[in-house]
Amino acid sequence: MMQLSKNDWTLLRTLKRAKRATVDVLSQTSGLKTEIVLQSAHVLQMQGLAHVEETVEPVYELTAEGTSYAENGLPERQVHDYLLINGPTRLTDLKNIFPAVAIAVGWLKRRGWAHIEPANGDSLLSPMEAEELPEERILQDIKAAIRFTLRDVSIERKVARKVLQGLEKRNVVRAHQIVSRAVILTKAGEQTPLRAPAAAEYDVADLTSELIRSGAWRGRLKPYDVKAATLPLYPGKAHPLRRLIDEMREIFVAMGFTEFRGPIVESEFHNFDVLFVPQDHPARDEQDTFYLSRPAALELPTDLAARVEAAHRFGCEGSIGWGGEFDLERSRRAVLRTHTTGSAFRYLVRHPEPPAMIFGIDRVFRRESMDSTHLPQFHQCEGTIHGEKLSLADLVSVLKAVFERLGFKRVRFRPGYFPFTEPSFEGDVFVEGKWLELVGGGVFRPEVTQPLGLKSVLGFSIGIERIAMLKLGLDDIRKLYMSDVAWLREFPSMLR
Amino acid sequence: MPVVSLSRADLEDMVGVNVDTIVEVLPRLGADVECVGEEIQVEFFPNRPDLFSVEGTARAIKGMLGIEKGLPAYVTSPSRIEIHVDPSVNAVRPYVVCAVVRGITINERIIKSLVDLQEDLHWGIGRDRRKASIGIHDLSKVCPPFTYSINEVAFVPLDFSEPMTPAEILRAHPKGKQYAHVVGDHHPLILDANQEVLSFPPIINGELTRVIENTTDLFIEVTGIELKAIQDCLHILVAAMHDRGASIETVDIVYRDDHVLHTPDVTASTFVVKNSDVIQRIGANIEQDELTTSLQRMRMDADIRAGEVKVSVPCYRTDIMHPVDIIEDVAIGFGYENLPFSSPKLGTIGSRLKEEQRSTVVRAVLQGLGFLEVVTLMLASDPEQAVIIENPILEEHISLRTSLLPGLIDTLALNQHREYPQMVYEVGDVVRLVADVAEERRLCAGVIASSSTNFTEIKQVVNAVLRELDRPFEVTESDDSLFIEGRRATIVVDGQVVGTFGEINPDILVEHKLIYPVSAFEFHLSGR
Repeated sequence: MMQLSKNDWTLLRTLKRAKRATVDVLSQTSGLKTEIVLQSAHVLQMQGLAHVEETVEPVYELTAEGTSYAENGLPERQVHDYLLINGPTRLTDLKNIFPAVAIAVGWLKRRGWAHIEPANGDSLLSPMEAEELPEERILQDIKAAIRFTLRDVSIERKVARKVLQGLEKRNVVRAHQIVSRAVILTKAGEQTPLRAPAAAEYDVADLTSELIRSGAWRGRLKPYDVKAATLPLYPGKAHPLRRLIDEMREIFVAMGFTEFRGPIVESEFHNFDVLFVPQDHPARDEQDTFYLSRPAALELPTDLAARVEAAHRFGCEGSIGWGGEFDLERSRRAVLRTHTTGSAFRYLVRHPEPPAMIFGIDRVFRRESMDSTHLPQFHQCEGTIHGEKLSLADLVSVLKAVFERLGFKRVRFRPGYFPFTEPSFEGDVFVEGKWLELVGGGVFRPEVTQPLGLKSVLGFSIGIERIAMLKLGLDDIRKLYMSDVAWLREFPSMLR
Repeated sequence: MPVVSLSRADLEDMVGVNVDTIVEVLPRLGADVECVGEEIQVEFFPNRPDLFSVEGTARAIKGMLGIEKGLPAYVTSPSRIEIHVDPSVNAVRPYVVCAVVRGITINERIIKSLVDLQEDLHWGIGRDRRKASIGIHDLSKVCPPFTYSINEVAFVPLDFSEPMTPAEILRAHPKGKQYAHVVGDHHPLILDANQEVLSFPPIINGELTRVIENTTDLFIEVTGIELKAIQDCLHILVAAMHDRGASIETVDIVYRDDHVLHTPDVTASTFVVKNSDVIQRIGANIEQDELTTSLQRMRMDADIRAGEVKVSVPCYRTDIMHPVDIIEDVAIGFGYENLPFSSPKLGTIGSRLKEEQRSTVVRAVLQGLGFLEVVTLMLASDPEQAVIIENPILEEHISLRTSLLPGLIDTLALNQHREYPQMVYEVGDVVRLVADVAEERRLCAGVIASSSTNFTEIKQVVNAVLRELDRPFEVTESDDSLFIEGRRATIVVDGQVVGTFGEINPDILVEHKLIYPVSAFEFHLSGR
């Protein structure tokens, strides 16, 4: 009847000594890895020799507010302490000292820690007795523990449970439910001798090399219950954002594009001036771009700088330029690149002979606060085509092909604006009943291409994270960069 | 991108169609309609400040719908009014241009439209009043000729009742405090013949010339540091007033006796574009008739002769600098939805970067070993040997990362409630400052968190990965405090230290509230 493997026997032996233990403890005492312990425990359970008990236990941690309260006391305690030292005080005066006095007063009233009486349209607060609260004890307990559970409280558990609920409501603590598994030896397990019983009809649990060579396995292997559940197994795999980037690489290479890269730490010259972005353009504000203090300035290619400066001041070939001053000091300032368009032109300057179709997928930086749709850093896919006589229609047609390969069948293009392209466009894809902007680009202006000695240049930038959010069904962009291991494990490598 | 608020009723009246048609046409002009109510919120591109008003938008929509075609006709007559520019203003705000607008009865709608347009131009062209600022005055309250000079005459600023000197305004008036940095110690004033103050640009106007309902004659002045920028503002303003039925008169700007400017100059400018260039850049075979119609929809006139188009561009189109700008207008008038399919036949052969290929191999090897890939932000908090951001938003984002390991340990900390063992890796770029130069490098790093991980296990991983990369290496002892003393090593290839591995120091684990052992490795895939 027994069909236990060597590992199963090892676990049973360990369990016979412990009677009951968590999976972690069993792993340490038996020398088996945790996942093996879980597997074997499952087998023992099927045989009725052990019972696996899952308990969900909350682990508590302090929120930012909670951390501050653990440090400085609850707001009502802070106000109470103040009243003890300074005597009865008016509410308006308290307001100046404690910005969040409203919360504190609510609790002072509820706890009966202060006597509050009206005084000429104001209120006067006088301190009353205020004993230490279980809340305060628990805050200190959480602060002291590495991983705080109900087992770590220094007060009665029943009280603690209630107090923790209240603190959770006040957003002072946060609870995570964690699953822990304990294995408990059953009566049958206790009575099972540690040696396998002698010759039975099916007496072999695991096939061994010995059995294969001797042929002695015949008729002795116990059939398994093929429907029995197994523990999930997760492979090592690529991050979904990377997978999308890999997919896009493949598309561009297949379409004849060559990959390029450029520096993240870039001069204003390569990031803006080369692209004919006027030096007083709002995108060059401290508001929108990360400037560097170390290194603060970068060297410029002298010849090229002179030609770009001329295009800015006087234009070229029938153009009037931006006029005004052009400050080379400004051009030298170091920034974190705000796009990969500058990197594409670095490549074209090194390889000025057409034709060229190039692409690069890399990180860019914008000075944005983080929220569910914005990050200070994201990925851009830059595509650039250099040839003799290229048109807006060429570019739009290439992009239609790209988006079709990415699975977007309906694409539309409409007028757009970038200081460096003319005509410019923005492109949307139609997803779930609405149009979503994913790409911008156009035909580069002569003021960009001529100083660099280039012919006709087309360019576009695709936002990778927006596509990733669409394809992965995410509503928070931060999830891509703050990986939840459980999400990564569960999320399929290939989407239907 | 500027979002402009337009009165729906006013716009409907000026165009002569209802709001549904307007909302349908706007995207074809490159505008994004954000919300429709009593007010229509529209996001325009920053290169088209002429659209930042009911008047300008109405004018463009009428062109697109064919209600009005081609170049709007603007005429001016001389007002004979002079403004004398004193050289003292050269130090702070050297340029001024002006116009007189007559025969319009100002009502609430027009005041709102004017004030909104003025604010949007202050941003769009004026760069928050630095480059250009606008003053609009009731002409009947003052007596020309005017002077523009540095001065300290006291006057009653808008919304105040007592006279103040310019210096006092900079100290005490809300607008004065906000814009004091633009003028510094020089206080430019526009005065009339009786030393009455019209304005203290770019700070505030005088209460005296406030424009109210039933005002009929306006004096507009725009001051700034660049002549083109202030002319652009003036042209957009007078075009809007002209569309409301006003007549426009020029003002003589007297810089010196022999240097007089007459503004505004509303003559259309001319650009010559080759038919073949239009067809080539757009990629559609646009016939002559279609070309003319497309430009007329964009409120320009076209005269096609011998393969060339002579295009007349209205004075308010401040964005047209080059024939390619005209070509874009043809494309917009033609309609992006009508572009034909055409694919560039360049015959290029695609290829990947060696470095990216190497990264792909390493990723496959680590995944084969059971590691899960993560991606973390490049912004970091450690200034050591790092590139430093001058204007960070968050304290934890003051630099660029110099190592991938902190990001991986943070990832473990985020996942302490998830099932163990956990094995994660990242292949990504870091930037290190070496002799004041930013050096970008591709790194590969991995961590294992489990009850049983140790030095031996991580050394096996390092061995496996470097074997797959065909990179023989040696191991020496390390002194990296990230790891436990005696359980840390460096990876040396060709005499160069390229990485480290070992067991993470438990003090660091506790800081991250991690309670299982963690082993880790990191090494360079290459420099750049």
